[in-house]
Amino acid sequence: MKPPSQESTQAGKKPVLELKDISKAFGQMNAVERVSLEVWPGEFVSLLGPSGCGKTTTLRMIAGFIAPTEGRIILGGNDITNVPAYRRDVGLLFQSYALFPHMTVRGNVGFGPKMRGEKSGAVAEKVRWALSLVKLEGFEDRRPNELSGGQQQRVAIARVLASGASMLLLDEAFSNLDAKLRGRMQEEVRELQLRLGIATVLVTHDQEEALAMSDRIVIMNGGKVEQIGTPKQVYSSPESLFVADFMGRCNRIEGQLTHDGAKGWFLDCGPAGMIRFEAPPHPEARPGEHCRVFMRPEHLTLSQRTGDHGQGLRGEVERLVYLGSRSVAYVILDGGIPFQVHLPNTPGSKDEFPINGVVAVVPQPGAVTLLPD
Amino acid sequence: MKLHVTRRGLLLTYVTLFFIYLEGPLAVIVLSSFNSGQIVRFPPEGFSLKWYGALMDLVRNAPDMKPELLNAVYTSLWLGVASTIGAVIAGTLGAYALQRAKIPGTNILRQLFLLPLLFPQIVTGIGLVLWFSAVGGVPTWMRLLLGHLIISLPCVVVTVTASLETLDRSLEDAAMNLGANRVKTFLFITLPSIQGGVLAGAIFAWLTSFSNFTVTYFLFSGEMNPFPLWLYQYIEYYIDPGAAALATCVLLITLSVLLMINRLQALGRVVAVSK
Amino acid sequence: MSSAVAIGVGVKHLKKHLQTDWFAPALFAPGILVLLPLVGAFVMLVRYSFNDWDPMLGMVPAWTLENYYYVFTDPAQFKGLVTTLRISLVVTVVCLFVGYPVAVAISQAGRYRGLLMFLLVTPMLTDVLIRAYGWMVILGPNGPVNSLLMASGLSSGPARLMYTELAVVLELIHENIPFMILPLAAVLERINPALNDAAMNLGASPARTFFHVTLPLSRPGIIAGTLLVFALSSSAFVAPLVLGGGNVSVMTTLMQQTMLTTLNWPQGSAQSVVLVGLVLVLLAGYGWVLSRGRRTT
Ligand SMILES: Nc1ncnc2c1ncn2[C@@H]1O[C@H](COP(=O)(O)OP(=O)(O)OP(=O)(O)O)[C@@H](O)[C@H]1O
Ligand SMILES: [Mg+2]
Repeated sequence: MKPPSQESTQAGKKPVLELKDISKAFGQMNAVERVSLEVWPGEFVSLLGPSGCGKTTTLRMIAGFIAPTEGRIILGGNDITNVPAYRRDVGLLFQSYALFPHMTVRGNVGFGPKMRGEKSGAVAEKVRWALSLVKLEGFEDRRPNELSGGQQQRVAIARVLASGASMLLLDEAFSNLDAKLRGRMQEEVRELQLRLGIATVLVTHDQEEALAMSDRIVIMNGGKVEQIGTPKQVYSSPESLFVADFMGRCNRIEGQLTHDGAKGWFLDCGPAGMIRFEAPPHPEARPGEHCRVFMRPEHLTLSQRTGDHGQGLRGEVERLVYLGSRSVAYVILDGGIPFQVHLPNTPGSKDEFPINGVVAVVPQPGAVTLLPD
Repeated sequence: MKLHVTRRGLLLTYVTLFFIYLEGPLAVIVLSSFNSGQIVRFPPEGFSLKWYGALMDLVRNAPDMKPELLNAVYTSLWLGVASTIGAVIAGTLGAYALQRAKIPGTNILRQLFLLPLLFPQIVTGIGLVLWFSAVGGVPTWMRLLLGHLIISLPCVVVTVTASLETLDRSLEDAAMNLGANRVKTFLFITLPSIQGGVLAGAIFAWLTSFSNFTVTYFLFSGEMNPFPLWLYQYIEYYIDPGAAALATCVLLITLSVLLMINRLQALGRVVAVSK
Repeated sequence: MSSAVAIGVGVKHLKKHLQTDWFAPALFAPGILVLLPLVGAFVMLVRYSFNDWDPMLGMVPAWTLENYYYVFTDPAQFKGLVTTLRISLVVTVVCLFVGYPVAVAISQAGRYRGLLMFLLVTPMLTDVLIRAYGWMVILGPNGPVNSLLMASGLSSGPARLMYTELAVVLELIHENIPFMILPLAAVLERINPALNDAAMNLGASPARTFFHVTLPLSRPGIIAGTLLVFALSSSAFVAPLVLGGGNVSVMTTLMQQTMLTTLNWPQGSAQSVVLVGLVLVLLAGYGWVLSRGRRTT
């Protein structure tokens, strides 16, 4: 089934949405500062960042509930900066769903087309189309309080789709659901979004959600954009310390770069030992240079062999936490730096690392990433 | 432990006595309306429904009283309904504006909307007498209507404000996002969401108007004699249980209205504004 | 340079002003239309209160403080003022002492709280006139009080209870005691019961716990209720009119006479302004106590 009217979803050269240097100040406080972003047709973009970094404010500026203090918002080629919320066709999915409690599912889903002045036949047609997309046929006459949380969210999605929005905005859309249902709804929404090819912006502070759903992720901090990139780019090539930290647990260490003609490049981390690089850490690397690096816990292994120079960092196991599919080892390196190492739990694996036992933390090839200053 | 029990018992006795005292005057009216004697007497001499019959006679036959009583009730009824409609419109819109308007001076306007509660009613009455005599040519029905509108307006403002405070603002945002302009959002989303507060405010506004004596006292005239004024004139001159029977009827109406407000769980809000 | 900046700032300011959303503010209009006469009326009251009055000519425009001077020096008016304050004081004190235990009971009533509240509020919201009529019956020559007095032999004939200050005071207590109990109960409900337990646990007797813990903590409620009841008692009109029957002159009944019988509008205006001043000061204190209580809890 095709949506009744959705010209804007065809792939094209022009971005669906452009934010040009938008800022928002509440009194003295800059909630959003010079954010620029382009969203392309069919693209799924996440705004990710810690609480209070301005994600919701950005989204509400796109929806038209807040006017930016500076900058322009372009939707489908038209400047909509001063267009009131009810004349923008961006569909917003609320965290609380915001279903109208005094209306049935039919009334809720039909509200958008009705407000946009469509005839009752066309409204009914859109309601049927939207409810079939979210697999809720037969629920037309229920009230929101007679639906489960997941069903309420589907109604909210259907309501936005029926209104004929040219793009979707989702504000923490899944955080009200329990873990299992959340995963399912994330999959469903992504699948629906791909099927309809509708450009979408998701606001979230859950990095796993952003990684799982997005084509691109915008990482925000303190009202500013830190980095924009694909999930892989922001996870493995963070452009700032903040991004590296925010995208997942990262073990950080610093030291002096050394070069040993035959054996290659090393980072001398003092009492903990040395880490070996396969290749020069960056093109202009010079021995003697001071460097900071990070590695993800899942890219490390533990070894009981500690004598070998350059074969990892020496430390003591402080604690082992069993998490089912893996265990986490908390290691204190010699010199006092705490590290986390993820150990996959295979059927045969036995507890080979006793508490207070001396171990070597060994990075897998390519695990050590240079941190930008 | 024993001490604790006796203290509770003491408190219980005290509270029981207190509520007997509090409801006493109302009970006395009801009981003496069933008196079989010729004058109001308590304890009553005997049980009889004759004063209710007399009340019916009064309405049906008494040539001098009939038109006056009926007129008084009629005046109070339309006055109550008209001022309630006005108060609901002005009060609901005003409460909404008080919560949403982002203009300087909103705080002063808030005081203005509650002013009829702060002013002693007798001052409101006297002030309006002066105002109307300065304006001149205002017919009695308009004077009464404006006076009653003024005193019943805050009833609606307070109950609707309370409802608006519990309203989920994202519902209105959602409606706008779906293409409803401000007027449509207000009519289709905001208003249905606060209808409990509006209804409670309307009932309370009606009660305020229907039973108001003080402001009415300064604005009425011979040809327009609302019920509280009529009742006042009657009990000034007659001590027969007919007045008690009449008062019992009004009490019954008041009580059912209060039960209605109670059902709307708005009694607390109403209490906050009464006076 | 600086003037260019000033113009820039001015333009920005103007733009902001034009951008103000006028939808919500426009909705003030009907309410303002209704309330404007009240404001106008009060402005007129204040203006008239400075006018002169001549028994032959009526009101004469002037700027004089004479009317205010009379409110405090004219024997009848001064007596009315004193009576008003005396009645209000007696009513307030009785309401506080009689009402406090009831407030305690309501704050501990648990699931009966709703019922008690309803019982408390019902007489308060019934017609003043009907309540007053109830007191007329009770205090009348054939009422229960006189029946008791005569049956017990304390009095041979019916005592005159109606049309006395006592009758007015009794009605006002009945009318206003809920306004003492409600703020008291609200404060008492917010007192953490653990504090009482803690005091008892530390060896304080129930009486000492009350005087050292409960009473000090309920002070905002006491002040709020006292101010409210005093304000309401001093502006009451129906009770002195119906139960005073001309024998009890308070400010409100004097105002009624000045306005409707003597037609001395300037004097009546001055009396009104004094009463409004008194009531507004009391209510401002009440509001202040309430808002402070809200901030600290
Ligand atoms: N209406 C407002 N008035 C004043 N400050 C505001 C307003 N709305 C948001 N802020 C402030 O702007 C900043 C950004 O808020 P925003 O709601 O956009 O954060 P967020 O990234 O969505 O956070 P969260 O993940 O907690 O929802 C916060 O510091 C917040 O306190
Ligand atoms: Mg947010």
